[in-house]
Amino acid sequence: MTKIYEGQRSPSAVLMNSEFVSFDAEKRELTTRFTPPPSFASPRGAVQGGLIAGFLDEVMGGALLATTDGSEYGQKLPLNLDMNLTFMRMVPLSTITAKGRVIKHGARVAFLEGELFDADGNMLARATSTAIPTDLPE
Amino acid sequence: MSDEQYYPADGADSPHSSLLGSEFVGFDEETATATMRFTVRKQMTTWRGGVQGGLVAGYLDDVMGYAYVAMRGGEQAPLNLEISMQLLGLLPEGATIIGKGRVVRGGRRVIFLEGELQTEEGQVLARATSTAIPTMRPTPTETGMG
Repeated sequence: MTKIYEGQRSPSAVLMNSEFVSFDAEKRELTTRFTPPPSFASPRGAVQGGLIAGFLDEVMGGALLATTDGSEYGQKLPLNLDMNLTFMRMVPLSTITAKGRVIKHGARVAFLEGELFDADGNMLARATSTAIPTDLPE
Repeated sequence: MSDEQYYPADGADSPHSSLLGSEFVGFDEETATATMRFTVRKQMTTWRGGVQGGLVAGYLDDVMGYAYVAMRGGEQAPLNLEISMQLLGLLPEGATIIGKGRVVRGGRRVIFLEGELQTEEGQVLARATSTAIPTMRPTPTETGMG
């Protein structure tokens, strides 16, 4: 069976051209590639700041999904309560790499973090998130 | 209406405005508050039937940004350093969302912004604060960063 976190599981993931790269179970870290669509551009010609959070949410969510795959409580997706974002560099309209990690998760709360990198490995943005783990849809 | 001097001219040119389904409603100079209306497109949603959490920041950024652009008469735009956001409710597919963005303080070197997204009935769905730096207003050929 294909693992859900390896696919594009929502319209927003399709929009961002999400592409599974790898999952490191020991670090609970998911790596994904994204290619921002032209519609993400701000007047600066790079991804609009707020929309950068879309990639980070996607990869942090995927990390929780992958981490809880096969767990005794069942697979979980995060319902975000908050997100804190730091923008270090402009995010270009070309393929970027995202890493998302589960810092800690229990039955009621999950703490997640993620980063975005350009093709040269420069960190572009980072995020932390507090979320509620919820069951997958039927 | 001073709004027309900057918004329709290049606001509609920005690709992200069409994705966000954004429409400028007004700017109140006294409170430095911009109001926008958004229509939630399906591409922005997940299986929960609402906007993906991270992408909610796109709407908040848009309305917070325009508050500052409007305050500066279209001469300058904010470049975000940080956004903190809380997600209180789902932004459902197809819904009309009202955004309010306010310049808390717009200094020469640093800008402090806050924003809120609401239902048409006034229920709060998301809120954010942002720290930014001012740049010249970008154009399609100029990032505004000098």
